[in-house]
Amino acid sequence: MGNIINRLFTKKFGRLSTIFICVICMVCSLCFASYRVFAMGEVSKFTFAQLEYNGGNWNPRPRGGKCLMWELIKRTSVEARIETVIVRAGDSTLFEYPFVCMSGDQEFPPFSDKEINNLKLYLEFGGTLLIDDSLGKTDFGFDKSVRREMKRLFPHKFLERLPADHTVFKSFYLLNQAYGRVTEKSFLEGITIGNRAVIIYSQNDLGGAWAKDSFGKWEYEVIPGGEKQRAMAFRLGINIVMYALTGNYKQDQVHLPFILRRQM
Amino acid sequence: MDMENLTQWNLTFVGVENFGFRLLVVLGTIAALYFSWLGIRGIGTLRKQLLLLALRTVAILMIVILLLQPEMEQQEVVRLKNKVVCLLDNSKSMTLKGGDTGVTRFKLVQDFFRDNEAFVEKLQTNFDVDYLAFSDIIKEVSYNDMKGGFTLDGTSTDFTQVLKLLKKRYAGKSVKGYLVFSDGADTVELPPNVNKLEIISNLARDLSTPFFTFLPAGNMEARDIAISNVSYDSFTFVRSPWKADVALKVSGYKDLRLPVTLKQGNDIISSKIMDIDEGELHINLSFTPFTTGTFLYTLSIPVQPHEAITENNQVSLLVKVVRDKIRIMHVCGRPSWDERFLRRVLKSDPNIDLISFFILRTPTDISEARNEELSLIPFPVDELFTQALNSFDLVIFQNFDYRPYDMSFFRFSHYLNNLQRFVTEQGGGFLMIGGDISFSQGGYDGTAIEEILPVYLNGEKDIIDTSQSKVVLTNDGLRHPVTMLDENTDRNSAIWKDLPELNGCNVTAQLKPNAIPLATYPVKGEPSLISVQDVGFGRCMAITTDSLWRWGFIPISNGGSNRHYIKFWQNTIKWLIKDPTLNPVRITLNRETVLPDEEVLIKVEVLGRNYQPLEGVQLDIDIANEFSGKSIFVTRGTTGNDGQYRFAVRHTTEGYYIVKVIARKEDNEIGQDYSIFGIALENKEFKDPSIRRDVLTKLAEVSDGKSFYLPAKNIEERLFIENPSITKLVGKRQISLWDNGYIFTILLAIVSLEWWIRKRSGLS
Repeated sequence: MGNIINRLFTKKFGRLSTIFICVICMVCSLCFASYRVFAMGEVSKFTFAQLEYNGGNWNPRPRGGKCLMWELIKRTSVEARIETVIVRAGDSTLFEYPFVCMSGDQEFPPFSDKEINNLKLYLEFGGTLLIDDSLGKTDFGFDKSVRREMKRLFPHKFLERLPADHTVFKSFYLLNQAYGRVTEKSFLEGITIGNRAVIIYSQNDLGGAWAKDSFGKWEYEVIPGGEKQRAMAFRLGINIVMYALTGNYKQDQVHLPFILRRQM
Repeated sequence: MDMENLTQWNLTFVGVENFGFRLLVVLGTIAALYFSWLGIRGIGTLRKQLLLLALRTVAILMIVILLLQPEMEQQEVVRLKNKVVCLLDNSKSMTLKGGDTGVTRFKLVQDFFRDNEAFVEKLQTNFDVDYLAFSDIIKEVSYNDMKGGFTLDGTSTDFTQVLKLLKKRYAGKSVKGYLVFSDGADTVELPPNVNKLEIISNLARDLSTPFFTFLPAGNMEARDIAISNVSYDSFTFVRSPWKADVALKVSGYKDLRLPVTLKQGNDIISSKIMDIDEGELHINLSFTPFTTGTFLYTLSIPVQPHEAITENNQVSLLVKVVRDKIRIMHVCGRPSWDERFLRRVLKSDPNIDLISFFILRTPTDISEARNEELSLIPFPVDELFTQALNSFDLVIFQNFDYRPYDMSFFRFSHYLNNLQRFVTEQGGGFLMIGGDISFSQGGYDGTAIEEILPVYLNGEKDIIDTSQSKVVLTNDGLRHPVTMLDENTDRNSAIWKDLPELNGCNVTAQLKPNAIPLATYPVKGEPSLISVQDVGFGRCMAITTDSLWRWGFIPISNGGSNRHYIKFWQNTIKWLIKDPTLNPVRITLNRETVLPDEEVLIKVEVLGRNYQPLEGVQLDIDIANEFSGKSIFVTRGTTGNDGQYRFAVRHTTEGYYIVKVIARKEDNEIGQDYSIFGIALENKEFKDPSIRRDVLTKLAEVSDGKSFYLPAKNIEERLFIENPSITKLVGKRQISLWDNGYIFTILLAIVSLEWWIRKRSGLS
């Protein structure tokens, strides 16, 4: 089936794909604008959950998640809550939010055993953890604590570099490296269970690139790439959310010829 | 065995076998006679000299005889006749009449023996003639059988086998000719890379005996249109094209246009018109089965006037349609946790081939990137909902609004009609999962999709209720395969009560009359949350929430598992695709095709709603002919404590038979099942009625024989069989010429007489 559709795409849609998408978007925007969009309650929407933990600074970029959600709603079909929620690793409410973000810029004490066990189950059964090092310094402070806790979470697995062709880099936007407020590492790290990266670790302060103050001004300067780098950081954030929501959808055979053509 | 007795005598000398010694004995004898004469010649009278010489000669000869020990050997010898073997084809193809002559092929053989009686008589006088009938075996017949006619009942002709049997039977015997009367129609099917003619030639060569072949002449070719071969897979996959390559052999007809038809019962499922001309023709027929099971298809071509064989105009094919992978099309209107957790279940099942299309960006979204920077692909609606649709078993619309794609040049509503036909006519499954852009919110009211959904949609009234609540299982849901998360209904009920709360539901209008509500949502009006319905040949299901994912994730936090969530989806998919394992009544046959009067063992197994063996179920069993509908076996049975009932049937008439079982418990029908078996005596003889001159000519050619066409008269003028003389020693006896008392007595008497004469004559 995949082959048939690939063939059809290649033959029929090859050069016309761009025009096709544009036409669909233009015409549909006219039609669709007249429909009311319902949401099946706030709880059904994608929610950016911030992980609270003891010690350290668990929420150095409190407005980062909210800004990402704005962009997510604006740019994609995902229905998301603007407001972020706060969860703790040891609470059962953690499981209400299959996506959780852990940020920090300081060293923090070890998680309790209960928190570790709960978080482990959460990740094994479908949850996704985004870790954002707001400090962006390897083997120091937050990073040091994160790597310690990762060893406790999955003693037989390691944080490994996610390759450039990983689905997270093509789940919505086509990207070729990791971005953030800083560029500590041009790649993301992660822990994979089965064929799913359950933990995605950025050391480039993604939240710093997303955060705006209450007057709509960027809270932090993005270095060294400036606004272009910030835009790419948003793209990466959206890709991470899309990856959490769709898994390896973009690895399906039907997508590959398009993605390969666009990446060339 | 004809033979002539002879007696032969031989003289042998066993005392001195070496020729040199024999010569020495002769020379010694001559020397002894010479020296005797020298001694005797001094005697006075000539009379005495001659007398003594005579006595001495006789005595020496006696001694020589004793030395040489002569014996007479008497040999009993018989003169044998050479063999000639008449091989008479007794396969069914010999009953075929030639063209418009009205004469069968075997009648030509009989006429040969009548027209060439003198030749046959001479043959029987000069040779030892064996008469053998052959097909794929050989059996002895007599000349009288030949003249009177014998049964032509061979169902397969196998020259290779016959030649091997001849070699074994006549090993060491002097066979000087094989007379073969046949149409040469060897029916053995060998792989394409094996040259049958070459094998036959090598075997004939190996026999080192000429074959004289007699075959019907050209005007004896039968007029026939035969389905000579059908290449097909006896099992195929549901929703995949099944193909048959049909080979037709046409003899005696040309310039016709006839339909080749494939039927299931009385329904034509594929047909093609083809131009009929002399020779071998090929045609491909195909169709796509939409349900699993074992089916009988009949391939036929109309019977024409004066056809020699009408049986070969029709062939029945038994095809088992099985499921390959379950092919699911998953269309999702927006990424969500409900979609993510469902996809995870589907992707983790190796039996599922999942094709997903998620709408990641709506027309109102602003991606802030050029298209080349996005990984988005066009939604291939045309391909999916036209050409490829029937290759799926199940289509899932999850929170999907079709209207953005329903444009003047790209009518998605047209594809909804295709989807309706996919379910109602092709037996596919359809599942709609709720959400903010699903059901009425997706604009499906008044569309073809509403017609197949188990619930009515009403755009004005349908709302979304976002109150959190647990689902409530209905009475139907307690025992339905979809919602049966545990075999025990009490435990099943408890499981459902323990499932986490959901986040809301699409409040649809009332259920359709034939729909079955499996679970409701306990809010105002108790709207249906899970409902199912059989629609035409297919099945349809509605789940009016987008938060089932919670069943697969929330229980983990309380030490539970996601197994009930997974089980729910497994059940759902099995039910929607009509998985045969969900049929509570199952018939199993030990064989699908048997010979006439061969036993067929049949097992009927009945499972309860809990899918456990059900005891005490009354079974109405009927076995009837597929075409006539006439029952050949009707019985009633009751299942044992293993839920099974076994029985056996035998029948002699060839054909296909349908076993139908209806299971009842306390007058309530539990279910029914059917299966098919065939009774067939394989008859390859009429598949291809052509006369194989090449086989018989080659047989004669490689063995230094000759081919003749029937009818043939005055054959003795054209047929010569070598007949060298052969004898056989059957006994011998030796008579000794020296080993007796007379020889010794005579020798003693002669020596004594000579001594007496010498004494009387005063000699020493």
